[in-house]
Amino acid sequence: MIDNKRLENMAEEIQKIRNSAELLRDMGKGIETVECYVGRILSNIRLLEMNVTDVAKIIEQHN
Amino acid sequence: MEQESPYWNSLIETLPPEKLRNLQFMKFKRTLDWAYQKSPFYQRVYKEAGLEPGDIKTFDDIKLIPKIEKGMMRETQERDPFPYGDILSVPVQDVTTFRQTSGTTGTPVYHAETWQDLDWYSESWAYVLYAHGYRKTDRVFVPFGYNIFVAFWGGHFGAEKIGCEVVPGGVLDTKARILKMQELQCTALMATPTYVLGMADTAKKSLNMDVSKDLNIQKITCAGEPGASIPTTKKRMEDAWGAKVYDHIGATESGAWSFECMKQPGGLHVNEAFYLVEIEDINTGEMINEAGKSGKMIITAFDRCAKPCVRFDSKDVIKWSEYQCDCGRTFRLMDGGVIGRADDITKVKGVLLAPTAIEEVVRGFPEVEDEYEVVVTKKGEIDDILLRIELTPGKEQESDAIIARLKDQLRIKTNLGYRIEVESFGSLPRFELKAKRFKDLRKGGQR
Repeated sequence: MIDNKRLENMAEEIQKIRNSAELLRDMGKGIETVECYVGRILSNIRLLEMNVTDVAKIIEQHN
Repeated sequence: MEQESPYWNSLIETLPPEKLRNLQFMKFKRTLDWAYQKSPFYQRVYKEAGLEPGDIKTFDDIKLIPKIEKGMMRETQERDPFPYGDILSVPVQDVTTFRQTSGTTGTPVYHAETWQDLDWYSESWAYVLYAHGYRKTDRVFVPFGYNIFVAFWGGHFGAEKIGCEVVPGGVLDTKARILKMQELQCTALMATPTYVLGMADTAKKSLNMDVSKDLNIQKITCAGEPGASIPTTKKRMEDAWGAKVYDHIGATESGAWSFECMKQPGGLHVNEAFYLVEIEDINTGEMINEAGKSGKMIITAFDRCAKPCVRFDSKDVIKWSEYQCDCGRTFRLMDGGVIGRADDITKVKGVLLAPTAIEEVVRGFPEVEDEYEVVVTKKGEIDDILLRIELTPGKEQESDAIIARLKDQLRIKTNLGYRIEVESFGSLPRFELKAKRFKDLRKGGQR
C-alpha cells in the first residue's frame, strides 16, 4: 500500500498539470492545433484523476 | 531491479473494501450528477420518478434510481440530436466516434464517444489485459476487421496503453491470419471462443499445422461469448492452443467491466474502480449481496461523458462468489462469469433452460466438433428440443453410443430430454463473431 503522503503529493502534482493545461488552452484559443493537443492532454489528466486523485480524496476524507 | 507490479493500478486494485465502496459512491454521485445535468433523457426519467441527485445520500439509496433498459435507449434515438437522441450529454460536435451494438437482441443502439470516452474505454481494457498478463514485451494479434462494432477497438488501444505491439489482423482471411501470427511470433491473441476454436481447426485441416506447437501464442483473451468461463470450452481452447485462456466481459453500453486474473479462481473480478455492479433478484427485485444467489446485473459505468450509463439493466445473469481471490485484488469476484441472460433463459417443457448449460455438456465430448445448434420447436402442445451436432471425422461408427452418452449428460445437467441429429461434417454454420447456436422457434421465442 502506498503511503498517504506520497499519494497526496501525486494528487497535488496532477492538479498543477491540470492548471497548466487549462492555462495553455485559454492562451491558445482559436489555434486549432493547440486546442486539439491540450484537449488530449486534459483527457489524459482526467484519467490520472480517476486513477490517483480520486483515491487520494477518499483516503483524505475517511482518515 | 524493481519488481514488476501484478496490477495495472495498485492504488485502486488493492484498496481495502470499505474504501473501495466509498470511492464507488463518490464516483457514482459524480456520474449521476453529470447525467442529470447534461442529458435531457436522464433528467426526464429521474423527474418522472420524482428524484433528484441530491436525494441519493447513501449507498443504499442507489436502488431508488430508475433502471435504464435497452428499449429506452432505442426510443430516445428517435429524438434530436441525430442519430443518438437526447441521451447525448455533450454537444454533438464533440463526438469523435460512432459505435453501435451488434443488434443481437433487436434494433442496434447507437453510441457516441468523445476523445475522453475512447481514452476511458481503452483504460478499462488496460485493466483487463494487464490482469491477463499482457506486458510491454507482448506482440498481440487481433484477428478481426475493426468496424462499426466496438469489439476489440478497446482491446487494441488498451494493449497499446500497456505498451504491447498490436497487430491488427482485420482484412486477412483465417489462413492468412494464422500464418501472420506464425511469421510475427505473436504471443497473445484476442478473439471470441468460437473463433479461437475455429482458427485451431482451420490450421489443422487446411494448413496441416498444430497451433499449440507451430505458433507462439501464450495467452488468449476471449470476448463476446461465455465460452471462456465454461470449463469444458475453456479446456478445449487451452488444449488446442497450448495457451492460457482468459475471459473478460464487456458490452458496448458499459465497456469492459470484468476480467479473470492470472490466478484463475473460477470467476471474474468486477473492475470496481470503473463500475458499480449490482445484482437484482429476477423475481423479487431485491438487491442480492450474498454469494451464490444469481440475479440480473444492473451496471453503472463511472465517468462516461457522451453517453452516460447509469443503472443499466444488462439482463446478464451473474452471482457473487464467496471465494476471496489470492491475487491480492480487492475487486469482488463473480462466480463463473455470466451464467446466462435474463431474456435468454427460457422455459422449455416447464423447466428453466440456459443455453450455456448445453454448451458445457457438448464441449465436454471430444468426439463432438466445435459447431452445434439447438432448435426448440413445438410439436402440438409439447416442446421439442433438437440438438444438431457434427462428429469428428472417423467417429461416425460410434455415433449411437456418443448420442446415448450425450443424451444422458444433457438430462443430468438440464433435466430435459433432447433429440440429437448428427449432421455431416462441415455442414453446420461457422461463425467469426458471436455464434447464434440457440434457436427458439416457438411462438414468441428467440429466432
